[in-house]
This record gives sequence, structure tokens and C-alpha cells, in this order.
Amino acid sequence: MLQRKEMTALLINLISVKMLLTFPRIFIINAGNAAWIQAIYNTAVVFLIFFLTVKLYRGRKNVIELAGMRGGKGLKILVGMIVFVILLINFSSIVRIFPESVKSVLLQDFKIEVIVIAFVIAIAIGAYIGIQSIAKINYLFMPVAGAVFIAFMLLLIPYYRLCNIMPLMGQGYKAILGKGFNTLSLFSDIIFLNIFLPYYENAGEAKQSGIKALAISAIIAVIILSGYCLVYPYPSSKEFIIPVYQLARIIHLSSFFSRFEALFQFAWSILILLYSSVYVYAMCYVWQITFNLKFYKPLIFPIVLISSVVAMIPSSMLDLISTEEIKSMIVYPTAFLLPVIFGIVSRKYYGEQMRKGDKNEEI
Amino acid sequence: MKKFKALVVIAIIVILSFCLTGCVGKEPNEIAYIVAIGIDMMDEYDDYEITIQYANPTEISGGEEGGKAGSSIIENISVQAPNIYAAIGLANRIVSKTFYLSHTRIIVVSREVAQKGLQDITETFIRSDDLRPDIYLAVSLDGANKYLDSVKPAMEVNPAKYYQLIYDKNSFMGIPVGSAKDFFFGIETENFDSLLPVAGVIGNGTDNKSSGEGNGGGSSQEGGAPGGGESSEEGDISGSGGLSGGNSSSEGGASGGEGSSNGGASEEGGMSGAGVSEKGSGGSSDSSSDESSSDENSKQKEAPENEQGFEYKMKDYIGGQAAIELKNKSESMGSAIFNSDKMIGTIGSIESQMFKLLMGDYNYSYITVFSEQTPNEPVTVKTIQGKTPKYDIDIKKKSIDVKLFLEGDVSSLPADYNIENDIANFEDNASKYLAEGFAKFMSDFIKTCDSDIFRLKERCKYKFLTNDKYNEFKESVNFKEYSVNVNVDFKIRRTGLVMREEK
Repeated sequence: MLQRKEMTALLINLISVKMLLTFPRIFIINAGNAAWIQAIYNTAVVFLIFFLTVKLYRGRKNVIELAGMRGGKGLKILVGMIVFVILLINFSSIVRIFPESVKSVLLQDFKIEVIVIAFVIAIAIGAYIGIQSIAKINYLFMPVAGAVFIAFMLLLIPYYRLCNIMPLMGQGYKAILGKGFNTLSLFSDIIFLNIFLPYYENAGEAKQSGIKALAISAIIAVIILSGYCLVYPYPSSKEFIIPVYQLARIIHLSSFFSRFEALFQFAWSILILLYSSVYVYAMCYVWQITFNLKFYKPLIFPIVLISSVVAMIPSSMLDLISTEEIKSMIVYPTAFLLPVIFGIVSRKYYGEQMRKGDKNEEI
Repeated sequence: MKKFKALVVIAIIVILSFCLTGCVGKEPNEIAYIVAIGIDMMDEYDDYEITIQYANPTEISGGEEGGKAGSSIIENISVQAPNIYAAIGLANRIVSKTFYLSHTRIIVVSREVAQKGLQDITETFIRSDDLRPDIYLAVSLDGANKYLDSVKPAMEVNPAKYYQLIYDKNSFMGIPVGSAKDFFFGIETENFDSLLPVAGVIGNGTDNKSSGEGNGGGSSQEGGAPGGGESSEEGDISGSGGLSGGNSSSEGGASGGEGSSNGGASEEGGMSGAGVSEKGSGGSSDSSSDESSSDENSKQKEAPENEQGFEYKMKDYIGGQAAIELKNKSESMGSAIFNSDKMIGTIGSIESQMFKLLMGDYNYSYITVFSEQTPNEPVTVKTIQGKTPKYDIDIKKKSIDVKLFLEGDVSSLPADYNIENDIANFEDNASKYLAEGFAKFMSDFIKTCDSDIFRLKERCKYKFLTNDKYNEFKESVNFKEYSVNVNVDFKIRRTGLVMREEK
């Protein structure tokens, strides 16, 4: 069992880490300087979906276990594989983007393969020590990351120019509402709440954890996007691959303080290592429960290997970023729909259990 | 199993300890830190002559005795290359150490390069992770190589610090901010145009001959050739205006015509040098940067004296005209005006200061103000910009209203003038002269220069809801048709440590 606060911190990390990489650029491309409005819109939509799921869902079984209970082994494997593929798609892009970013900004003389290998070894070790340890380390590190984030946004104040965020509606309401659906994938990692349901004490804890994680992640996303839009005028803002890093580079307080990116990279690296470790662990866990395996640890190496191979498929950073949007379009509908569908299934299943008089089954 | 785990942990610690023994990549003593880059045009090729100025670490770190100052702390190397990185690659083959750009503070371009356009250069620094987004860009009318050659910091041990101190002082003196990132934003968004500082070389007698017409305050967008071309008279915007009038509303076009190559100090008392000059501070006489025995800067004579209320009796310098110093012959004054990425002219230090006040970039400085009580001697006021200027642009009425908020502490005044008894009158008059000067400068500039340095288009963003509508406006607007009205709220806060009674 994990404590609710640890799970909440874990979910915040899982949702928000994408904002530290290339994700804000997708917002900017869609909505221009109104990217922050699009983030608010996405938050509203995702809360609607979340509350619908919560309303429908019964019990502490995740979608894979529910699939097994209702449709037998075949359906369980099918759902397990769908969840695994969603996680793999999301994770493989991080396995590539992060080392590429590190190569661009930190270790320019290193081969990308060396950085990828070092990165996957670190996350494999993280996954090996297990979800409890990762969640606890993540919970301890969150205040540090929060302090860096607040300092970061405060240091940017001298660079904020209100006119950069104007015209208020950016690329227009059609762009915000229409194209805005793509960026719902920011919150697609909320599926972890479902995957890790068995780790919660009860469904109420999971609901509270989900609400907090979504709200805090949404605030982080809106702050990052509005900060970026306030500093970088559109359309030059859509040209930078890693917007948050670009913001960190700009901080220069006369002779007193500059090169904030060093501090930023420290928090950035640890958050991404924790994020990736959770992903590897989750993929192993999904595989374990799908095929009823006794141990998950032997799966770490093959899964890390598969992820690394998939990550290296795009031949360049350019290919990688161009596939990001397509990936988002595949990932978020599945990530949001699966819990809703199995919410209906769980309702039916637990309803039948209740009618059979199985009072032992927790609802 | 426990033993195995302990072995693994020990192995990891041992392996990681090797990573702590040195820097990643190059050791610091294998690196040559570039502090400035100069870019000149090659006459016969499309290539540039790129001057790399790098710190000489053996001269900077002097142990207990401390480092040295002057020319020995920096070295220059010039190569012919199509861009900055190609030049560095070439220079790396010549110098034993490897060049790094992470400490570069400034990129200086020659007038010809600036006129050709800086888009390629901005593309380089915006993609580069080595170059900081806050490095400075400057234009040297005498040539970038010549400017970097003339830099001999007399009081600085660290050459990067020298550039930082000089160009960070922009909030106090007559140069614009010159930040590379803002320049890039201007080009990329097309919301505004930029000004860059003019880096000049203090000339001597020989230089004077080659630079004939000087900078002046005259106005010419397409101006003289480098090295002292002909003085272009068209478009001179110095002219009538004078010291009269209240809150100035300047609706007319450029008064034109004066076109004085010597600065255009108008007979009617117009603000000299109010306009734009492309004539520059002179040619590129080879001897200008020599360690001449003469300590007189002949270019100084070329700078026009201002007769307008703001900065009354002050000379309107541009880089290379102001200081008289033997060792360090480099200086930065005045601004180069750009339309998108192309330089179209220059303005002097007084107009640059006015520009900064109009933009709200001004920190504080000592300003000399005309006083009717002492017409021959100005009153010097330490002026602080109280609030950011307020702009009200009416698209329908085609008017631009600007309100400036200035506060001053009296620093120096003629001994026979009892300002304490005339404070209200002085404030009113000063407000009047300042408003008039600002309105004239702004109006004349807008009407004669195809450059939106006041960011008027950007200031209209609030009036639109979407980028499409704003872009339509941007393409159709012509601010030359707009009237300019400037109001100045000028208050004297303190009179120093003295408060005189009425005589």
C-alpha cells in the first residue's frame, strides 16, 4: 500500500514532467499566445471525464483485472496489451527526447547512444527498487522541485511583458477548442491512477488523489504556459523545442545571478528519472498482472530494451517531434476511454456481485 | 546474496568516483573563452571577416599580484568565413586552445553588415546553446575589427566583465539595450523594429579628414557611404520646434531641409540631431585607432550641440565622438536604427536617451534642462523615470498620445539662480520643453523613418482579440498619418542638501 500523498505526488510528476520537455510547444502551435487558455480548457474537459469515470467506476480493480473478471483471459490480454502499448508509446518518446535534450544542452560531445544507455540503466535501477521506494523518493523530492519551480517563475518576473500575451484569444477560439483536443494527452497519464488502483486503500482515496493531482498539474501547466507566453512573443515562441529550458536560459539578473538552467537541469533530470522509473515499473506491472506472473523484476531488462529500440526508431529529433502529435492523438482517447468503458463494466460486475450477496467484495 | 549486493554497491561507487576526477569534455586550461565577436564584410567576396576576441587567461589570473588590465588581457584573431561557427572552426586550427562561446558578451557588426541584414547572425545565436540569449549586439560604424582592436580595458581584469559593464549601463546613458533576444523577437514577430548601440572608435586628426561630414544630427535614411561618403541632406528632420510651446503636438511631417552635415542644429532652435543619420561618425581611416600621441578627439568637434530644452547645451554624440582618452579608444554612444534586420540609419546619444525615456527603459541620469531664468547655463537635474510611459493610440482618430512621468533632484545650477523660489515655474517650463522635444523627436522620426522603434504596432495588440485581426491591422497601418502628442509630468522632488532663502 502507498500513502495517498505519495500517490498524489507521483501522479503530479507523471502528468507535469511532459511540460518540462516539448509539450508546451504543441500548445503554442495550436493556440498561439492563448496556449494558457487552452490549458484551462483542457483542464475543464479532463475534470469532466474524470468525474464521469469516478461516477461510473466501482471497486479497486484496475481495467486489466476487470477485463479478466468479465471477459476472461482473452479480454484481459487484449486490454493489458492496449495499456502496455499506450505506456510504451508515451515512454519511448521520453526515452529519446530527454537524452536528446541533454545532448543538446549539457553533454554535446557525448554520443546519443551513450546518454541513452546511461539513462535507461538509471531508470532500470529505479524500477528494480520498486514502486514504494520510487513513490517515497518522489514525495521527498517534490518540495525541492516545487521550490525550484517557484524561484524560477519569480526570477522571470522582470521578463514578463503583458503585451506578449495579447491578442487575448491568440489563434482564435476555433483553434483553442478544436485543436485543443490534441493537448488533452497532457493528462493522459491519469491512467496510472487506474493502473495503481490496487495500491490505494479504497476508491475514495484514489478519487481524492486524482482530483488533487489533476488540479495541481493543471495549475503547473497554466503557470508554465502563461509564463512562456508572457516572455516569448508569438510567433517566435513556437520555434523553441524545449520552452521551459528556453525560459531558464533567459534569466540574467545583472552580475548577481545567471545561468539558472544549471539549477533547472538538476530538478529536471531527477524528475524525469523518477517519471521514467515509474513508467518502467508500470509496464512491468501491467505485463505481470496480464499474464499472472509471480515476479516483475525479470521483465525490467526486456522492457527497457524494447523501449530503447522503439525510442531510437525516429532518425532525428525532427522526426521525433513530428510524430509527437500523432502519438498524442492515439494515446489520449484510449487513456481516457478505457477507464470509462470499464467503469460501466465494473458497475455491472459489482451490481451482479451485490445481487448474488457477495458482501465480501469491496465496492 | 548480501555479499553480492555489497560488491555491486562498491563497484558502482568506484566507477562513479572516476567521473568526479575531471570536467566533461575539455579541461578549463584547454579552452579559449571568446568574449567578443566582430563581423565585417569582405570587399571582394560574399564571406565575412570575422574577428574573434578571446580572453588571455595567463594575463587575467595573476596569482597574488592580481591580473593585468589593458590590451594584454585580450587577443584578437581574424579569419575569413561565411558565418561565426565556420570562423571558430577555422580559428581552432590556428590557436592551440579550443574556442568556446559560452562567455561571449557581444557581437559587433560593421555598418555594411548591418545594412545587408542581420537575420543570418540572429539565426546563429538563437540556435546556439553556447551563446546566451542576453548577449549584446552592436554596430560599429568604423568597422567591427577596428572597434575590437581599439578595446583596451584600462580598469578591468576580466574582458567579459568590461563589455558587461559598458553595455549594462544602457539604463544610465545614451545607448539602447541592444539585447540579441529582443532583436530576434523584433525580426521574427514583425511587431516592432529595434535599435542597437553604436560602438565607435575614438578618432584622431587623420580620421577627421576621412570622415568629413561626421555624424551630426542630420537625417538621412539611406546615407553616406562608409568611410565618409557624401552627406545626404534629404530627410533631415531637424528643424523648427524650438523652445517655445506648451505640451507639444507635432502633426506635421518632417520639416526637412536643414540637412546640415554638421548636425543640423536648426537656426530656429530645433533640437539638433533630432533625426536620423546614416553618415556615421566617419570613415575608417586606418590611423584612427592608432596610439596617437595626440590626446584630442577631432571627431568631438563634429558632434552638434543641442539647443533644445532637453539636454540643453549638451553635445549629441555618437560612438567615437565623445571621449578623449589615450589608451582605450573604444566607446559606445548613440543608436543604429533598424527596419526588421537591416540598418537604415543612426541617431545620437541625446535622441537615444529620449528614446529610452519614451520606452520606459530609462533608469536615471543627469539631464541638463533649459531655464528661462538662466538661458546661457542649463540646470542639471538627476532625473528618474517615475512610472512607465502611458501610450494611448486611437486608430480611428489616428492619434498617438504619450504621457511621461519624470521626477528630478536638482544637482547643479547657476549660482545666481534661486530655484527654490521658482520651483513651480521651473517645473512647468521644463515639462513644456521636454514635451516639445519628445513630441518633435517622435513625430519626426515616425514620419521620416520606416522603422517602428517605439513599438506602436505592438502597443495596439490590446485592441484586437485574435492574431489574424491583429496581423491584418499590422499590414495596413501607416503611422506616418498619425499625429503625436506628448505630455510630460515633471516634478522636482529634492534640491540637494541646500535650500536657499530668497535673496
